[in-house]
Formats: sequence, C-alpha cells, structure tokens
Amino acid sequence: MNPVRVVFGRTMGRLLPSFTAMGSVAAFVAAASVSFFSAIGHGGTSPVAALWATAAVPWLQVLAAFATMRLIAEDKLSGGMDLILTAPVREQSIVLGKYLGAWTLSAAALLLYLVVPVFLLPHFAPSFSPMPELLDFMPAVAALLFQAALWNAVGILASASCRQPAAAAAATLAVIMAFPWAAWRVALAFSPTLRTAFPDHPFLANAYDLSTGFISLDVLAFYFGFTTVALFVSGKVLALSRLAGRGARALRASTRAVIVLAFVFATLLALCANRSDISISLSFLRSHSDDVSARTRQLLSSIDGETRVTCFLSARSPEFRPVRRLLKNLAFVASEQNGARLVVDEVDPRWDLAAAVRLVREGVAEGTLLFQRGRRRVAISAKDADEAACASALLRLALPARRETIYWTSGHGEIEFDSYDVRYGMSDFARDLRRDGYDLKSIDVSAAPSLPGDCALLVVAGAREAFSRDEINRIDGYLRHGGRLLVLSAGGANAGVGSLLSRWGLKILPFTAVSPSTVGGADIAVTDLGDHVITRPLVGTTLLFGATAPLAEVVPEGSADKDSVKFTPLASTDARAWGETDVSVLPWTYDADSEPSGPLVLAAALERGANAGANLAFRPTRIVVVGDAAFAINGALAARANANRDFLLNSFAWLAGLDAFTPPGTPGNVIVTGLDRPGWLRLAAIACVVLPSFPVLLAILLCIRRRRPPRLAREDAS
Amino acid sequence: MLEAKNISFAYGRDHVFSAASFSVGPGEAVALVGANGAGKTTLLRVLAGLLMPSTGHVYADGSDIFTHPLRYRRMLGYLPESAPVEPGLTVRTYLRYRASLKGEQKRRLRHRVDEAMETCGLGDVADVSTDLLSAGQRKRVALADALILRPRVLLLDDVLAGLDVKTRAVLAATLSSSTSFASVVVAGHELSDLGRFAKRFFVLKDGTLYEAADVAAAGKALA
Repeated sequence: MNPVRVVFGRTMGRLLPSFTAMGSVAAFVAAASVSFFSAIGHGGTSPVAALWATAAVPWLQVLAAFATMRLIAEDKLSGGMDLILTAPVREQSIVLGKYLGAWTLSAAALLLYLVVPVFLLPHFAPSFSPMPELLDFMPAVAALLFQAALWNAVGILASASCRQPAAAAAATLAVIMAFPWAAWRVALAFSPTLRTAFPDHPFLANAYDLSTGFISLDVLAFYFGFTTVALFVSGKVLALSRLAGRGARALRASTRAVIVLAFVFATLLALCANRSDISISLSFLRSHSDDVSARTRQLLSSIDGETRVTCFLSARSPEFRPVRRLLKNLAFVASEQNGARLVVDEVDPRWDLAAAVRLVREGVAEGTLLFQRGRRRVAISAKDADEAACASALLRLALPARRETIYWTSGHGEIEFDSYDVRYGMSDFARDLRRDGYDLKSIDVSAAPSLPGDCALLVVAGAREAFSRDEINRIDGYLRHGGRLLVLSAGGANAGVGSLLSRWGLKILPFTAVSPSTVGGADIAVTDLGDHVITRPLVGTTLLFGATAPLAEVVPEGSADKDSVKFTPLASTDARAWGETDVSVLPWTYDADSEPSGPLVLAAALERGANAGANLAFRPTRIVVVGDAAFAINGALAARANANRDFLLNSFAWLAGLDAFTPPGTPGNVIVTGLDRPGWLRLAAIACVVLPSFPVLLAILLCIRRRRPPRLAREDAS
Repeated sequence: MLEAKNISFAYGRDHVFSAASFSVGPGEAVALVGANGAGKTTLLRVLAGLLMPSTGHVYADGSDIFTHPLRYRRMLGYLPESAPVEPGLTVRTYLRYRASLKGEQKRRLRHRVDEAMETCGLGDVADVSTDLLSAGQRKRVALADALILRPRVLLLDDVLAGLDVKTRAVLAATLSSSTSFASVVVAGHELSDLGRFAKRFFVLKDGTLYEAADVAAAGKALA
C-alpha cells in the first residue's frame, strides 16, 4: 500500500477522536463565525464571501497550530517515531501523510464554517442583502484552503522540530502569526507607502484578493513555494535525527545547508514572481457589480459612448495594483450595465517609452490617471484614485462643460464646507462635490441685496441662529424663481431657515427623534426610504442619523393651493420611534400625550412645478431638508459604512437638475442584515454553539467506541 | 546476515562505544548485555539505522544499511525498549496498520496479522483497544509488530524488562520458536532468560564490546 495513504489514514484516525483537534475545529467555527458576524454587522460594500474569508484567516492559523502540534512531536516523545522510521518508508512520505491529514481537518472545518453563510444566513436572515450563493464562496474556500496548506506545513515543520506538542504549537503561532504581524507593523512604521499598496495585513489582503477572484502570481508563488519548502525541510529535520553522532558532522552540516538553501529558493521564487507582477482576474466567478457602489454603477449605466482611461503609472508603484484593479472593475461593470465603454490603457514609463514621451509632452505627469472623452480630458492623481474620484471624473466628462456654483450660507453658526474638523467640518463631502464638477462659494445673505445669478443651489448647513426677515425674504424670492435649496437642520422650528420652510409646506418639529433601531445607541438607522429619484437607487442601504429633528408636512403659509408644493418623505423611521422632548433626561420614555410617535420623517424633498417643468422647460423649485445638521460631517462619513454620502450626492444632483444621472436603478450593494437583536442572538447561538458542537460530539462518540471493552460490544451485538 | 565492522559512536565528545565488531548469522540469536547506561540501546539504534555510526559500517546481507536504507528496513524488525504502541486502536487494527506501513500487500494483511497474533498469543485481546492493555500485553503487541513480516534481522531492546516471570517465560518461548528465520540481537539484563534462546553473548562494558563464551562468563564479565 502507498505509505502516504497509510500514514494519512492513521493521522485521520488520531485526529478525529482527539479532543484537542476537534475542540480546535469547534473553536475555529465559533470564533470565525463571530468575526464574520461582526464584519457583516458593520455593513460596508465588500463582497460577503471576502468578508467570510478574511474573518477566518487568523482562526485558521490557530487551528493549524493546534491540529499539527501532536502529529510528529508526540511520536518523538513516546518513541513511536523510532518505529515509523524503521519501516521502509521515506521521511518525506511520513511528513506528507501527516500533513495531508492536518490539511484535511482544516478543510473539514472550513466546510462546517461554510454552513454559516450558505445555510444559516438565508434561513435566519431572509432579508439579508446581497444574499450570497454557494458558488460565490468557491473562490473564498479555495483561497482559505491555499492558505491552510501553508499554515499546516509550518505546523508540521514545528512539530518535527520540537519534542513537546505545546512548544510546537507555540512555534507555529509565532512563525505564522506573531512574527509576520510584528514585521508588518515595523514595515508600516518605516515605510508608509506600504499602506497604499496593501491596506490590510498581507495575509488578509491575499485572502480578500483570492476570494474575489483576483489571482496574483506572486501570491501563488509565495504560498506554493513556502508550503513545499516547509514540507521538504520537515523531512530533512526527521532525517537529521539519524545524524546525532559525531561522525555525521559533515552530513549534518550539508543537510542544514540544504535547508537554508531551500528557504532562500522559496524567497527568491516569491520575489521573482513579485517582480513579474502577473495577475489574472477570474471575472466569471463573480459579479464585479459588487465591487462598486450603487451610485457609480448607475453612473456607468447612464452615460454612453467611449471613455478612454490612460493609467500613466509604473508597475512598480505601490498604487499600480489597486488602481489597475479598480479600473478593470469599472470597465467590467460598465460593460455589464450596457453603459459607458471604458477603454483602459496602461502606460508604464519604463517600457512604453513612446507613449510616455507623448503624455509628458501633453503635460501629463507620471502617476496620473487621464480620462478622455472626445476632446475633453480630466486628470486625477493615482494616489487619490479611488472609486469616488474615478466616478467623479466620468461624471464631469459626461456633463456639459459648465460648472455649477453652489453657495453656502455663513454668519449663522453654519457648518463650514472647507473645515477639516471632525465634528464641525464638511471638507470630506465638499471634496466629493468639487470632484463632481461643482464650485463651492461662501455667501453672507445679509450682505447681498439678492442671491447671485449663477447660484445653482443654496446650502444652509446646520445654521444655529435664525435668519433675519430680510434674509428669509431674499431666499424666498430666489426660490420662487426656480431656486434650489438644501437644508441640514440644526433643530428648532425657528433656527436657521425654519420660518422659510413653513412657507413651503414643511415644519421642523421641536423634538429629537429616538428609536430602538440604532447602531451605536444615540443614532438612528433608517432603511425605510421614500419613492423618490434621490432615494430609489439607495433601496436596501442604511442611512444613519444623529440628533435629528423630525419633519412634518404643513399647509404652506400664504398659499391656498396646498398641492402646488409636493412633499415627499425621503427617509422615515419605523413605528417604534418617537420624538423625545428632552434627550438630556434619561431614560428616554415615550409620552403619548405630548410626543409624536413613529414613523417620523427625518428627511424630505419639496418640489413645486414639477409637471410644468417637465412639459414647458420651466425650472421647478426644489428643496431638500434633512433634520440632522451632522448628517454629512467628516466624522459621520468616516465612522461607519452608510449611504449618507450617496444620499447627499444624489440630492445635489437632483437639486442641480441632473436627474438623468440618478435614474431608478438596481438595489445598493451595502450589506444589510435585516436582523434585529433576537434574530442576531438566534443566529449566533446556532453558529457559535450548536454548529461547533458537532465535531466535539463526533470526538466523544469515537472515544466511547474506542474505549468500550470488546466483551460488552459482543454482548450488545448478541 | 547482520555484520558490524569496527563501529563506534559518540555524542559530541562523549564516546558511547568504540571499535565494536561482530556478526550474526541467519537463524542465530545473540544476546547483548551490559549495565545500565553501557550503550546497549545506542548500539541497537545504530544497528537499526536510527543513528549513523561515527566510524565503521553495518552490513546486512552484504550491503551497507545506510547506502540502501529502504532495502534494509524491509528486512528489519525492531522492538524499542519503551515498546510504544499507537493509542486508540484495537490490537488487530494496530498490527494491520503497521503491516501496511511496512509495505505488505493488502490481500496478505489479514493473514499476516492473524499469524503474528497467534505467534505472540494475542488472540484474546485482538479486539481490545491498545489503551486498555497491560504492560505485558503491550510488549507482546510490540513483539508481534516486530515479527509481523518475518524479518531477516530482528533487534529487540530489553524485551523482557519489567515483566513477571510467567510472561517472560512465554515471551522467551515465543522468541525461540519464531526466530529461526532471522539474525536476532536481543539486549537485556536477565541472563537466565536470555540464555533460553541466545547462543552467543556479547558484553558491552566501558565502551568496549566483548564476546563471552557462555552465560556464566557473561555474568562474570558484568559483575
């Protein structure tokens, strides 16, 4: 019989009844499930399969350490290895058989863990979006199996090198977890450019890349090379045990030299593969639509014609890989949506000399992404080239050349658009607006006799003081001539432009909305979005509101025709929310007599003359009101994955009259679990307690069967 | 035929034995005796190919055991002093595994296992877990493992140590009846038991290997 198969069978026979091994499998499933739930609970736009894979990486390393620690070390301790080494079997066959056993255990643990997203999630969270399918996880499973191959090989090497199983486990964890983590931290400290090249720890980044079908030759070479070398060296370590005597000094030295050379070879192989920078993207394995936001996807589907993107960047640059991946995804999504045709050209100044010289003569610097559409072009720095920047460049090329001007009121305690402050600044969002082709200007309404003629849109962001009657009249006059207004209310019916809004049929209520549907306790998570051109593309996503004043529709002052202004709720709470009179008094309790109950409107759109505007080229008046002044402050946009940014960008596009770029589209790709607290608890209990109990039960059954005296077994049979 | 020519072994500067030469013919059993720490186990490990000698060579059927290790291991049966037995298996399964590992064909496994268990008197415990065996039974299982493929070289380290008188007698009888096909080297202390099946005696003392004429001479050399 094949000795590898014999050793493999025996290894499985040892692992399955082992409480250490099966307990490790159970702990792996529980811990990885918790990490996975934590990842999806925070929302975000990453593919679920990638989150599933990255959540498992550290626990898979721990599992490998504990599964392999006994396999050789215990044999050496008990003397069993002498028996194995006197059998006519090569050391490499012994190592390979034991290694395959440990790797199979990792594979079994992964399959058990796969039950969580493929079976438990659809069952316990039927409204989970985007709902993953089994096929989506195949690349992720392959990626983790590939990584498990290396971790188990290192574990086998440690087990072959140590006499104590605990020492082998510690050595394995040090080699595959502690040392790479420390080295990564040191590398980041001394080379900040690595942050751009790999946003995460390389092992996590590898799992993410592989599980999304992005395969790099250097990653394959690294794992394959070091797995092979670790197994080869394990065999050599076993062979070294025969060379303990003085006479074998030369053989010992040569064997150690071979071991060192093997590691040098693996390192060189990985480095050469890294320099070659060969990668492929398995697009048939997944939908690239998952990789870009709903807004970008709609933009790509809305514009047509050819846009040429020239990536003028060295392949050695740390920005090269992420930028190339982003452009490929955008091009793929564009073709999926039957929209814009993106043609991506890569110009490496080291190799494409003629193209590089031409670009330089045209004034394009190295490290630039050049978007060209006809005779128009937009250049952005590769360092800033994220999805939003590319989408903005595409939008600017698709729009007429004229830039719209947004006026931002000041002088009433407003949030400043050019402030970088986390709590009182909106520089992050202002940058998005500028990318989208808007000019931002500050205006003191009290000092101007009327609003400027180029005012495409007026923004009142978090004004804490009331506008004067003259200011209100000026803005009202602007609105009555087809003006556009965005209000981020700081609360209070009379603060800011509250009195103006009541003329247009909206009242800011003197309450603060509170709701049990919350992420952090003080905020409100809103998934009930209205049927409006602003919010249709965001169906399925979550908006996060802070201290928000609820809004209500009222009869417009001085107007007998209520229907002339159309009030559309954009975001509303569920029925469990209410308007709290004083949020400083805890606990918050609902007073039915004096406080409004849910659902409460937290954001609304007002429009006058929409039908006439469509038919007669009449410019309708449009107003968007959000009851939360901090809805888009820097801190709110950076803190959590939410759709606040897209909501406001869509609002600006609607207010500026760019309706064509916010058509009804496909549901957003932000992960929404749709689970309440009891639902989470049920799912967690099944995934973290019931599921892990299966391997432990299997170990118990096998142990009972193993220890049952044969006489009793015969009696049972009779 | 097993032949050691001028072999010596040292851990660093510590010499264990030096210039040891002897040969064991087919069907011949020799006893290797010596005080505790004399180097008997190390010498057997060298003969088993688990340690490479500092000088000299070990030949089996005329070829160096380190030049053709797999060929040598196919003809080798080895029983270490601790008699390690794989836990968690029945005796039958364990012997089946060991025979498979030694390269026995699948169709002959059952016959080999039954034969070894019968030889070593393990029929009663064939389906007992190795975790539940007594020390004597474990020794017999380890001996069955060493004998299972009828090895041409059999190396037994302290096979009778720690056993009661009855078990030692049974094991000695088993050895004398089943080693007619092999060159046998048995290390131990119990000269009287070893004398039941060993025809020649080697004494390892102060790092030197002597051949004693008989049991009495060996006992005298050890004293």
